[in-house]
Amino acid sequence: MSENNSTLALIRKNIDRLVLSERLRISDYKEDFYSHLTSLLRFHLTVPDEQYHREFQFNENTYMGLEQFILENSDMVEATKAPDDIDWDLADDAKDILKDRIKRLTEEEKSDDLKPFIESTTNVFENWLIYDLMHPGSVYNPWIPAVNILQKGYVYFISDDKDRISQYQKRIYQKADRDTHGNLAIVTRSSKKRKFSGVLADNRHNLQISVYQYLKEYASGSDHAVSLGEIQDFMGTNISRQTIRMKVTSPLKKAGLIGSNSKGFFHIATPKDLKQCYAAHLEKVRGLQGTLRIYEKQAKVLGIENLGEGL
Amino acid sequence: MTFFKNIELGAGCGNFGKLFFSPCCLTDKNKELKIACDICHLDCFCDACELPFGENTFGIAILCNPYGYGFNTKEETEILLNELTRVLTDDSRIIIIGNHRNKYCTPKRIEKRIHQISLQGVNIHFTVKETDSACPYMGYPFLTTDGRKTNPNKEITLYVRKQFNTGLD
Repeated sequence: MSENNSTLALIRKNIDRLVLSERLRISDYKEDFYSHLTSLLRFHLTVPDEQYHREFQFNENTYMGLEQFILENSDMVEATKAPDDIDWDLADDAKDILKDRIKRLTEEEKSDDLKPFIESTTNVFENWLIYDLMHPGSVYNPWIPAVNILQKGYVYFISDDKDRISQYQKRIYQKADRDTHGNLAIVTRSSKKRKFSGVLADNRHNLQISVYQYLKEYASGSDHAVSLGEIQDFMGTNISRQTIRMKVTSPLKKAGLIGSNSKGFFHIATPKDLKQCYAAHLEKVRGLQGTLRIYEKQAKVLGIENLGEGL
Repeated sequence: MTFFKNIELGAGCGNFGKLFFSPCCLTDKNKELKIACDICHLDCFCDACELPFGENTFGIAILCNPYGYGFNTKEETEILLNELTRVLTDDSRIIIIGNHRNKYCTPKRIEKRIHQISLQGVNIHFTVKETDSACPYMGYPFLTTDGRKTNPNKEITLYVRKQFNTGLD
């Protein structure tokens, strides 16, 4: 079996394992959706492009433009150079396998009702695969969170087309205001027939861009960290600290774009900053590992043989 | 009325076709570009797969950095090429300029799709070349759908020959 045949066999095995969720809960995929968008944003923030002068809005144009930009310029954020050519046949075959699997799972083999969902989900999967073929196992692959949504049992349609989205789920636009009106939305389907749920992206990515740029200019390096209060003052709006933490600083930290210490938040500018961030997280992980070992010990006392079974 | 010899699909806010393949009809399906572009060079708003032109109208069709349409799947290739070959004359060309990682027009995918589909009465011959510094387009600012810089490094040409029924058999 050639290497590509074995890769395809592995992909097929994983796709065959996919099942649709029996639940239909926004909380199951909302964070993955936002995390996917922030991962795309990483490239917008870190790869300089003097041609780009537009005001940022996460709509379909931006989404597609970023998709193309990332696939063509991934080498600029990765430590490795992608091979000159990738196996496009493998991508084709994998996409076909996924398409058939989704049709079977949704029992929509003969209908076109879920065509946008099949196209959107397979498109995301293809992007993930192309990126993975270029940079195997990279944590920078911005389609990882979007593929997670599929692995959690949801197929989806990502678009800014209000009419098309509303065909499936009207309530998504109930809370839409002028600022979010043209943003991307995700509408999902699980195993429940003719039932959909969805989320319209809020403007957290614009806030993330402003705060990232603010930190880059005024808090470059751990020695110049600024507090959450200072960030709140800079934003000059009525956004609570909790919201800033949840929608802005935590996602930026998770994406590795900013760091934090006891003084506050900062732009990671030097190897020393990165080392400090790494050390802080390592300490937290070691703390958690210690707690896990205590639970494992307690399990032995209680006669539980495999505490992690089924997790 | 302007007489166009060539046509560019998905031209966006650019004027590539007018600069390098004049007289060229610039088309795009996105009507918002009329307002969104600083200068809108478009002559016609239409879908690349539903062109409002008669048969055998153009000598060259240009797809400059296509994204969101093109050769990504067999089905979309079939629809696109059926429409393009309809409006193209015999002995015409389809020129596709894109980056080798652009999944909608990567040379390997285009070559594969051409062999996968069958177009009635049309033969297509495929060639690909690198766009190096000697290429006349090199200084042109190629952009993505949202205005980011992209560097096309492949030029793919599809030579279109139509087989006419002479009625002599």
